[in-house]
Amino acid sequence: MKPTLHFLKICSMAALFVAPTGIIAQPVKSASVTQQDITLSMNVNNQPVENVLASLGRKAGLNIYFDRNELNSEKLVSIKCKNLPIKDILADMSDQTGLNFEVVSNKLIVSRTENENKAAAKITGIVKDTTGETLVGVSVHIKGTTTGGQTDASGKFSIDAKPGDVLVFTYIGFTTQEITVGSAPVINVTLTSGSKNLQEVVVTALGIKRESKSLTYGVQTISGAQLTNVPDASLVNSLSGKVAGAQITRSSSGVGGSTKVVLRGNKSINGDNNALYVIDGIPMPRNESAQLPNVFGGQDRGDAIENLNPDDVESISVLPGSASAALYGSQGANGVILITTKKGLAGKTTINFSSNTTFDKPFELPKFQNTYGETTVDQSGNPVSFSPQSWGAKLSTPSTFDPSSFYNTGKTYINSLSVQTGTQTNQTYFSFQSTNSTGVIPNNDLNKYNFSVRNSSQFLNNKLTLDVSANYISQNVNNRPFQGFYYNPLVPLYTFPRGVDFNQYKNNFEVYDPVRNLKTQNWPYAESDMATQNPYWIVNRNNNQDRLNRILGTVSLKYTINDWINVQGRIKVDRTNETYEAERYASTIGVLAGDKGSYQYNPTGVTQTYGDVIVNINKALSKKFTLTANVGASIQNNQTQGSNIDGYLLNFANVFSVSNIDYGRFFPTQYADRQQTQSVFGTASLGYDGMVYLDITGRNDWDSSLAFTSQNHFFYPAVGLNVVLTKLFKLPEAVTFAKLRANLTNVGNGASAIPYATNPTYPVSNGTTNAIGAAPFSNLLPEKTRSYEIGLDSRFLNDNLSLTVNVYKSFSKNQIYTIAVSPTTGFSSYYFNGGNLMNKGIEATVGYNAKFGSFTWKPSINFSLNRNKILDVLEYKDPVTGVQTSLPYVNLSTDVFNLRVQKGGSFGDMYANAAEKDANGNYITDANGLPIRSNDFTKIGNYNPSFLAGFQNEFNYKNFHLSFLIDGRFGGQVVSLTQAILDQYGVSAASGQARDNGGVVVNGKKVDAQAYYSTVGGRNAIASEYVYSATNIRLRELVFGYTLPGSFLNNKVKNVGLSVIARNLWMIKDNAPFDPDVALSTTNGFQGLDVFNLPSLRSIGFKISAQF
Amino acid sequence: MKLKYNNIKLRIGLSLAGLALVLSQASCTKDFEKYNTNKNNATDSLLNIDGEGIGTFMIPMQLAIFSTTNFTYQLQENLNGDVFSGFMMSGDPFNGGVNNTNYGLVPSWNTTPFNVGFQNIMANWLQVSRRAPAKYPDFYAIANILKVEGMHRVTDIYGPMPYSQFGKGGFATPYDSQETIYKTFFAELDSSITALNQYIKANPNVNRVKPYDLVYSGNYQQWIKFANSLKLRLAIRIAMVNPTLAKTEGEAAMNDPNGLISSNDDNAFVHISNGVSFTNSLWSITYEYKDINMGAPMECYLKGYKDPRIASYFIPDAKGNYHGIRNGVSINSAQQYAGASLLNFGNTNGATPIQLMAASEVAFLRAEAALRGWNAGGSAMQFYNQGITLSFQHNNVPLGTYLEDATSTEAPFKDLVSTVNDVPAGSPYLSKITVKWDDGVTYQQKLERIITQKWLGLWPDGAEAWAEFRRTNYPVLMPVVVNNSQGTISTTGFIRRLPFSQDEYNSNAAEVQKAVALLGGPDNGGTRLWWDLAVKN
Repeated sequence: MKPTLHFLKICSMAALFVAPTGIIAQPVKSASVTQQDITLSMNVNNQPVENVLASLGRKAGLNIYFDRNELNSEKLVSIKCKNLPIKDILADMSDQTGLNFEVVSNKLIVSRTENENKAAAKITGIVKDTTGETLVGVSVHIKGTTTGGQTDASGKFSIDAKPGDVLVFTYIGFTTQEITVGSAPVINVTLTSGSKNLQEVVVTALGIKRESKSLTYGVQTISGAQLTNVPDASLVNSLSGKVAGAQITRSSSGVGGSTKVVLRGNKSINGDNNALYVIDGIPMPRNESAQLPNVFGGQDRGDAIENLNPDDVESISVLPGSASAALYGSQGANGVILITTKKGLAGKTTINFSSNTTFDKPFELPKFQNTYGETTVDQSGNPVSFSPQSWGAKLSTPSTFDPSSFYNTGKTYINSLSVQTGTQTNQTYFSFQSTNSTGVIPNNDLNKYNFSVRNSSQFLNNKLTLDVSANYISQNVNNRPFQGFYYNPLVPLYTFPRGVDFNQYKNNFEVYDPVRNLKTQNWPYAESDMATQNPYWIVNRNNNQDRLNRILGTVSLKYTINDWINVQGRIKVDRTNETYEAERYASTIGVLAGDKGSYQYNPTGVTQTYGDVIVNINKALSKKFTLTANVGASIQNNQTQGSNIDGYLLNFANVFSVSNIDYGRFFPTQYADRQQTQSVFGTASLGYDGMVYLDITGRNDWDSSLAFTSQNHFFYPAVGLNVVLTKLFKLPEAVTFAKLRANLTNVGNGASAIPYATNPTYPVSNGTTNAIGAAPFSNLLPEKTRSYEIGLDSRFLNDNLSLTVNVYKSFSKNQIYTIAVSPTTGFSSYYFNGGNLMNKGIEATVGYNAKFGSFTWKPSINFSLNRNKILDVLEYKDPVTGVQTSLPYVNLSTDVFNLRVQKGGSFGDMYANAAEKDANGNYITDANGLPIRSNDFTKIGNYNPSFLAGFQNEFNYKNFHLSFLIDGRFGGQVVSLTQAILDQYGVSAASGQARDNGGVVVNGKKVDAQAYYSTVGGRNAIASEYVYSATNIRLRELVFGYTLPGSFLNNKVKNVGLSVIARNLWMIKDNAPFDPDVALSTTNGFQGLDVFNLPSLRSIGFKISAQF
Repeated sequence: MKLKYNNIKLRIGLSLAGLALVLSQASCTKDFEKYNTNKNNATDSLLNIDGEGIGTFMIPMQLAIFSTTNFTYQLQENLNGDVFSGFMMSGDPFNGGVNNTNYGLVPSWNTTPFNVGFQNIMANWLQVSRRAPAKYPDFYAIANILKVEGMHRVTDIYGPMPYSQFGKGGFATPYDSQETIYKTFFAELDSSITALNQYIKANPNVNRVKPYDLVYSGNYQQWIKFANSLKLRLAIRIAMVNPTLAKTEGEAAMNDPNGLISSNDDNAFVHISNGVSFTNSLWSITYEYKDINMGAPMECYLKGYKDPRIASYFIPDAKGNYHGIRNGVSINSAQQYAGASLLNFGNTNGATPIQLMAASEVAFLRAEAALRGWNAGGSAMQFYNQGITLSFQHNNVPLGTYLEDATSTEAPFKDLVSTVNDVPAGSPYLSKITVKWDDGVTYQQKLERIITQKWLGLWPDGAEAWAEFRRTNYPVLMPVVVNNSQGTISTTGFIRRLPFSQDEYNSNAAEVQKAVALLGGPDNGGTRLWWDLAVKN
């Protein structure tokens, strides 16, 4: 029994009735002959059946009766005939529309075809694009049903359909096409590409699908293929340069580290500014590992997005504004990255396999000198041994020590296998991916295995859809590199005194100590404050291991009540168990470990459970008005549980066990945090004639982080309007499509970033407890962001040129501040709401399709700029005196520079004790002619770019494919503490050059190089002297590929693709001594800073893919 | 077929049940308060049980006076007072070799004594003061003694500090002059002594503070002795700047019937006890960080006097020699001074109790009091000899003929690395004072003798030794070799204080700026505190 029959049966149960309102034509003359014998000439092409009937009725003098519900005016017919009897014309129309026509006297009665009359037949065909390339994976379904499938590897589809059924062909990046099945068993389709999403159905909030043209906000869609062209172990990194308005920054933590994605500017001063990730409509917890608290060091242990399989991604929609995000709740205030994963396909089983191999080398390294040796005498002329600095004599032969030789060639192997299969009622997707990567730092590796299964099945005559999916991720990372000074092998490596043989420490990083009967670290250059150790000791004997197991399970159940309403319920559980262990062997520097070594054991479990119920309505209210509405409720629970045991070993050296820790001084900690948000929400979109759409959204959140305050819930509305100009006005022919949209949104945000702030309690440790540091925040209010957006989507020249422009402005108020107060208050900090942070900006995307015979070129440019202004920092009332204080600024970090949020300034302003200068810009110097550090803080820069731009190009010629992406970040500043320290140590190229020149010129006078760099450089550098432009332009991605013709392997293995891929191939411009796209960490306070950052990598490799 | 159908039904049924569960959960927010309470922490209501909420806050106070967190202690005291007193010196070229030890003061380090004082001592004292006074006057009295002990060390580093207005006035807390602070200290110690006396009288056999008392295990009598001794220490500190008040307070302390710490049994030391453990930070900095060594003056005095305490304070090298490092020497590599002597902790190592005050110091205080003509209950000589004796006894070394040595003086200094750092015989930076008491010498020579021996006995409390050096200019110390203060601190005039906490300029800016006026000089390391007179008397 074929399910399609079931469906049609249901549909045909609606009784035929003759609607008087359906009379659309009046007789023009009375019938004298049998109406059926009248011959007519017609020439219509793809006209709605309704119009054709009207025309036919006029010509033949027939009154036409039909039920509008059945007529389905969207059905298109084409008739070209000369003097054909009307019954033949009607028969043809019947074939094309599936409708039944009966002429009774002068009445033409239109009714649904009895399904028994017209049996479903197999319709096959090939889908190609305008270049003649077959398209794989095009979704083909019968309109109004769930019956459908996808094109196979050779672009073929096969579907059981009856004449009159409308086949809908959708493919991401192509215009959706509808074709009515006629009598022909073969339908070949050509989809027009380009001009993108406008006719497409896009997945929006909560997984609700909407026609792109009805949206009142901007969406940018990236296909899965665009992500995996140049694969990265973390899929968000592949978005760099491809999305207008996204500022993507990686932490300097190597493979498997976190990535910060900021959409439309930073909105929260103290909270998270990262975009929300949503998978198949369900928000994903960020699970970001703790980021380093200060420059001394810490470790980035990745985030939740990093461990997904990029090959499971069907497409990514980036909703940069908060308008779209209102439905995700507070987490969506920073914009949403919406990931749609792959599903099974009805029809033929397809197996996809791809294998990627890439090799990595450091991309940008500091420049070193190699002509001056280690310091051998101190300032007084006394000999010193083992000085870690290089202010010694000129070497007779330049040092051959090359810090870059420390780096290995990183290797990443990503192998993916996926199977898509299914029947009309049951589709299954399975995938497996392995990622095996060795880092450029010795002993750093990542092994990740992803398994996904997804099954979609339809029951109860297709009224019930059950979608079940499960993912399992196993990831093991050994020796993630540390950021900052501690455990960072780059600090001792880069500063290693020149002229000394590095190999003796490389080959003998440990030597046997007969007294201890132990191999101990061999390194006479240890310095306590940066905890410098032998780089090879660090990578071999300061080990850490991060084992992660994550399971995601989703059950979604959807019941279609009738053709305009359905109810959907979903549950998702996302559970991550992570065990982190660090083993530091005995003779590790005393700052980091005890005499016997030290050990850290940190198991954590994070569970997010999400459930929702949504009623979806999609109804034509009348011929012109349509209504789409979604009303629902959701609940989200976030739970984190774990403990951390970290201490020196007690009695047994190198016995790494929690049972061997000195509990007399190291006290375990435990955490069990829980946060719950309950929400009700509703959205309604009223459309008029496909021309004007009005959206109204409202949401109310109850947030447990607001417990103990006067109100634990908050409401936020959004409204949007969209006008299809091309439908409303007669525009020049060159304009194929134009749409203007605007929206106004409010998004609230609870206080999950500061759990327990409203109810602080006393942590218990070592048999005692301590006074509370942060005063209770009992008048906590949720943060609010109000944003406005106006956008234009347009296409020109037969859809070959497209332009999208968005202009936005947002105000973020009620910011939650943690204000460090004087400890003389009895507290160390207070929380306050306040401030007003404005972001405004422009995003634009221009795309073009050029075709010259079999050569195609698709360039696209994206551009974005964001301006941020701090309108207000904070006005607060002294809790005791009641005195109103207006805070001029707050510091988000205070080390090399203060990241200062200052009224009138903008987010990302860096302040420091700069070198003092006079009115003419000359340095004010001390008696030795050296610059003096000012006691006042002055602004030395801002890390945010003025604008971002990406230029993507795709060339296709026959089976060859070339694409590249050049992107740039313009404006903004970064600071390099690395350079400052390398200068002070006399190992930087600058310090060598200065000695060659006989000193450094300050105000036109030469001063001694060592004296200069000891004053200006070093750990406490005068930061103003180490500010660099963050402008950088690079060839970020390059792919050159060839697809073997199917015939090559007898069509048994298809789409065999071979490509050469490269990332970060060429830094076209960068004036900073490091890659400004890499930040010390992803926290707000440590952006734009280089502290011995792990360099970004140049990756070159190849990819093989095939389909079976 | 049927089986499959059932299976599907089961799946659907389970899903629906799950949804129903979710929905039923969503129906209320009554658990929100539970979710937003950290279940691993103590709450105020839990702290009401057994009176835990009062005593528990006294423990962190005791662990903060000399912070038991090694890196905190390092900045709280080790890289200032411990070095500036000549007790110790670091062989580590911190901060690229420019740091406190050579007067290149590091602002981010020098916030620590202030922050620890307020966050760990004052904040916890506030908890006790809010919970205790009515029903627990004994707890409150002891908390006040701990507060004075902890906070006088803070004011003696910076000068003016917020004290009387602490925790009262919202965000801007005014600074008190050091004079006001000292007067408040005396008043607080007096009220503590009174309260403890009253409590003992009313509850003779009760020592309910014991579970929270790491110093005297609940012996209230000993707390009174400590309070009196502390009062005497503070009185002597202001003996030059305010002789009248000093005499009044000093005599009151010495003549209180409860007495002072007069035997080593009464010493105020923080011990590992009651399930509260810690590691002596100084041990950790010495042996784990390997960041601190013997100071050159310590080497020279101990060697010069052939003082047997040298072996209980320091570890000799293989040849039995001791090597100190002089303040402010140029250090380019941590290896340079690898041969410098390490501190000796005997068998107790990390478990070594933390010295707040010992009997020898009290004896020397009384010696100075007697020298100043106060009613000290004995002569300067008597207390001087007693101080030395108590110190030897405390260090378990035989006194021998030490007290009779009228010839030995401080030995010259020979640097491990460079002759530039040497202090040869005849240098004005070597003291000529001997051990044996001599009533016939000048007042200043007597004072030097007392303070020099007190200095040796104070080991390892560098902060107190530095304060007394600033007050008296004794013992004779060696100036820094390299001075990175950019002219703010005189090399031969020595460092007089640390600048106010940099954090205060951010969070309490108006008040800290007013405090500069109270200080009476620029906010740098060269300005003298209230009790540090330019002309000593």
